[in-house]
Amino acid sequence: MQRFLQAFRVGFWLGWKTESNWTNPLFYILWSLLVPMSNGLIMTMMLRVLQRTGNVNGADLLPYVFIGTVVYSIVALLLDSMAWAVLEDRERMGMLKYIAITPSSMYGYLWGRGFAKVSVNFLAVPLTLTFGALVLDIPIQLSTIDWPLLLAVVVLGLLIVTFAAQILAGVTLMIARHAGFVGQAVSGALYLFTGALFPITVLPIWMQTIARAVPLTYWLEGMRRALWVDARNPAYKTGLEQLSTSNLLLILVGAAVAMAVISIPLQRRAEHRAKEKGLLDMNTAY
Amino acid sequence: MSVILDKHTAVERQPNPRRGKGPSAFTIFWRSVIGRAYPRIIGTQRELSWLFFDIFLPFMATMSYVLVYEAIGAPASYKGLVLVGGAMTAFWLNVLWSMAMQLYWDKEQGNLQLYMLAPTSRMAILTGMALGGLFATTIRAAIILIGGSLIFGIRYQATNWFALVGIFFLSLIALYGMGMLLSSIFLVYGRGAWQMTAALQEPVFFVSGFHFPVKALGTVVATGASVVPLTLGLDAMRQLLFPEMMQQFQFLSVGTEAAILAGLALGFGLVARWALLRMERKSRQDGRLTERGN
Repeated sequence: MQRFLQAFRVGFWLGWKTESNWTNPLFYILWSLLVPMSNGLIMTMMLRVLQRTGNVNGADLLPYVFIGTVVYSIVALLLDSMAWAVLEDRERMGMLKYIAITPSSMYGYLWGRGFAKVSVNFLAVPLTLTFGALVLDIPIQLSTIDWPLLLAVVVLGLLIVTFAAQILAGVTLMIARHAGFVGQAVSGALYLFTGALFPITVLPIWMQTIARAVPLTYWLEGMRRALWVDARNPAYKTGLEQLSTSNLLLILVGAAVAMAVISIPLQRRAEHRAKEKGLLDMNTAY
Repeated sequence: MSVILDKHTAVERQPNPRRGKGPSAFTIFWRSVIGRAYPRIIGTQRELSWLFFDIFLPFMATMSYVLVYEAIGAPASYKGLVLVGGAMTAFWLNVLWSMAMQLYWDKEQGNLQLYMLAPTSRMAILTGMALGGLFATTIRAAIILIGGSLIFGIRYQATNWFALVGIFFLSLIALYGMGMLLSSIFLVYGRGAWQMTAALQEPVFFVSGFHFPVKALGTVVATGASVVPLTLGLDAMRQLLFPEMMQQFQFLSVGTEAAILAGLALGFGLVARWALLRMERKSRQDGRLTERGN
């Protein structure tokens, strides 16, 4: 554990320097707002265009979609961060092999790199949600936010995503650079199965089954319940309104444990295989 | 045998017997184009994981956007509008990450100095990069478009396929010209190039109307966003594919958009060439061509 924490601290420090010292802190924060803000605005415009032309049926999904897409930006960044750290250290800096031969924990190091990349987003996401509440009339109010639930869901969700990111980093250790966007690609695909943009009831039954098996579906549902007082309104047909909040938390705890059990041996296996096949200093650039 | 005087050293030297017998500049240019395009086309086949990560997963991401419209019961043509935009995102991503960033990446990898030493035009290298990238990206975009159309039963009402194909290629020529320009600009950048490229990704999805008609943003924003060729290209293609629905969302007429795209294609090509020479000279002067990790 001590080795893990030490490697995490070093990875975080290095990641923070790498990510942020190309500019001044204020510009860096503004820059980090671009992704969640743009995604939120895209969804807003998509829905508003239809509303303006009267081509819309059913409930106004904007709060559902806005919260989902803004919160999901953390998932996308975190999933991408560790895989990208592997590529950057292996191919650009050429230092992954040196980390591998030290007695420190590569696991802890990659966690540090990943968290450094998303740390500024812990500010960007609340700022974007505030923008949504103030400018786009998204019904989020400080007085109605369920703070204990929010805290519990954020911690559990981050654990789940981090373990998932670790799995992608393990995969990236064994493949070439075209998969530089492996994290982005996976997070893009998970859009489909997590109900980030639309209620999962829109999907065919077999896809709904997959969506219900993806822990992030419950994380996003938990975030909506914590932030938005009307999240369980049956009018939105989320397919999860019958699920009690305590059961939802239990699912998230179980998912976090399961992801840890999968990702830790997988990372070790990936490291071992990368050493065996001489992939730790692979350089691929087309 | 004639003897010539070297203008720099003022000493006699023998003329090169091979002078005038080598390949022409035109041949070298196209050989370079093919040489640079080759790894982008062949490389993709050598790494099968690419097929999964670069085609199937982005396909699912595009489907998500279409399903937003499905969730609120939008007409099929609106889903088609999103699908076309989703397919074209592939080109924007390719231009950003595999064109604009490439010389910076090559500098980091140590390839850039080899390009500079090679007896060929840097424009040939960029053109090869663009053509190779275009090939792979077109496959990805086509799969998204065909797959999505089949899944959601989207019917296109295009009557003028010639204009549609013309607008498509005009947009891509202008877009890749823009990629060449960005590439030459980022040649002198340090790590900031990376962040700038990332900063251009999602905001352009928004202001260019990849997932909704750009006219919805208002004339001022749409006009400003027109500097990205896909803004007008997408609007024109949507008008040709969904003429009925786009009547209320038309930003400019197809003819006007085609003319502006042609201007952008020419403009970006010329400015890219100028910028490349200028930035290369600046990089040489500042000693940044071999710089790494900054």
